[in-house]
Amino acid sequence: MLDFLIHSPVEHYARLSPDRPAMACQGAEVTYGALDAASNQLANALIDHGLAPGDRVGIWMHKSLDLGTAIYGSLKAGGVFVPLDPFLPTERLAFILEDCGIRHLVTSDLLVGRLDAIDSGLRPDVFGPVHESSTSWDHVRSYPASHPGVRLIDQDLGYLMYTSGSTGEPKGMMHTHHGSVSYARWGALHVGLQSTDRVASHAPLHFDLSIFDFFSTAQAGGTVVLVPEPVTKFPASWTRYVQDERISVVFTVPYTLMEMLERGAMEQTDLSSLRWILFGGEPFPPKHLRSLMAALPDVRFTNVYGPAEAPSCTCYDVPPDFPEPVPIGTVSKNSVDLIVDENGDECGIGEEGELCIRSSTLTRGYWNRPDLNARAFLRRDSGGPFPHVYYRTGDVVVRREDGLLDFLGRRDRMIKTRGHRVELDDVELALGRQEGVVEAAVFAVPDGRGSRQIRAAVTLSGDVDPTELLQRLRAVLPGYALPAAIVPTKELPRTTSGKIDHRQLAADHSGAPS
Amino acid sequence: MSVETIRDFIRAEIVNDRSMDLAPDDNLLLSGILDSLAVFRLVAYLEETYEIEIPPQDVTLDHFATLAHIDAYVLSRRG
Repeated sequence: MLDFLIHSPVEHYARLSPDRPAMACQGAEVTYGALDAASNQLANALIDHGLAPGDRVGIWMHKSLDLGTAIYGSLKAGGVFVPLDPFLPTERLAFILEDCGIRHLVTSDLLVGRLDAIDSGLRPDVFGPVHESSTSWDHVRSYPASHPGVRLIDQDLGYLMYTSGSTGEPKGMMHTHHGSVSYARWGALHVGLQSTDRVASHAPLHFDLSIFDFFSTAQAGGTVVLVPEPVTKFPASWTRYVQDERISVVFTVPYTLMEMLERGAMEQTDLSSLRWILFGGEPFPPKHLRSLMAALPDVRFTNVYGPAEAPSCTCYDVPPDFPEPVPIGTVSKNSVDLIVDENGDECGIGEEGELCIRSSTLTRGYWNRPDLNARAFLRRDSGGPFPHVYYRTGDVVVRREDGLLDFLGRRDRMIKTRGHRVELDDVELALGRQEGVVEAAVFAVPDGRGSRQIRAAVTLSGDVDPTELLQRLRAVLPGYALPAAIVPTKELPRTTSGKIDHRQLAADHSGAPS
Repeated sequence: MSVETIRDFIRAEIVNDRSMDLAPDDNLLLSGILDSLAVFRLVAYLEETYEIEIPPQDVTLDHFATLAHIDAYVLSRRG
């Protein structure tokens, strides 16, 4: 199979098995044949509207069957697709449109009106909705369904993924066809995806898990089951959706799975179609993972680790008797790991250091950000004419005796307080283990004396006194690592991708402890 | 019946905009008004205000898509 471009498998299966379902959503399906034809039509429409190879195409849509057409149509036209959060505030949307120069945008009836609020100078050519000066899907379908014939190589960019930078400005990660296909093939092989698999697209498109959902599934000729955003907000609707759509594979964040366990009414749902759950994005609190594994004894679980810059670089198939914390496992076949200490020297077994990754999935860098690119990559002598380029993950790991890697936390989650180094994730884990604590988030705020103070927010089940929690923590943590305050809260703030928003917590709690 | 009360709660406590337009049939989810955190705050509010119990299996899209849906659901629980 000629599979060196992201969209190659769709073209392959459109020839081989055109009637197999490629995408499904709320009971409706689109076949590989229809997806390929519709994508060709969109590609031809984009080219007719001046799209040149390498141009960025914004995809600003909710989950719907048209999403596949938008992705593959952009790629077939030679475009670089830029997934945009449908819930993005207008200013942030305008920032991204300008930052990477999006002149073509695929969107929907529901969202197109919001474009009126942005500066007309940034206003891209719009595809999809029925709206003034927009090329509607009906109009797109009047274009020929023949292959647009754009020549691409696997080193060309396939997509640009924006994440919130630490400065608050989003930064766009450049990914090639080659890197995406490597990630997609890793996923398809690891899970043993087959054409009969129905893989959920639960994560938002602008989150790197979706690259697995869409492209690993396409590698196997399987079906991507799009999960509408409203369904993802209701654990009981989500478990029902898994049942009704007979979803077999899910890749999501621990939060979604914990919600499913707690409020998903799982015992009233037939989840027998599920065979594999992959999770990543943040550590899974072990006690909740154990409960989930007990509730779904026939499902396999994999902890996938990898920053969006080098997705899925390590993974760990979780056995029933897994150690705590859940290891991130071993490096994937398409990656090489290097753990370095503060001087750049390689760490041995048991020595903590920053994980650096060389991978065929590695980003080409950040769009228009030479400043970030200079810092993000580490060049090491390879012994040959070209240096090895590693991505500095900013994550601190340790290699265990058995060769598995343990994730210890973000480098920026390691703080100095009163001269002691404290790993906030350690404190968080210890607090999360306490009886009565559902979830814990530990963060640091300025203490007003040039140092930092540790604080915690917890969600509780039942009547637990924060003072008592502090007492219990005293038994397991050194005094300097104890939070100055533990604040019970109803819910912890989340980022759009479902991770605990520590930055938001720190901003909310930067005053004196109450 | 409860549409006004629920609308006030969403305006004041969730979107923080007391003058926001919100019709009974507006989709609260696709518009991004309700995220998963907001849903659970809303559930807690409804339980307290209307003295009802909302079991997890009832916290679904069908009951929370619009103000009208929520109103109908609350009514059915109180009935």
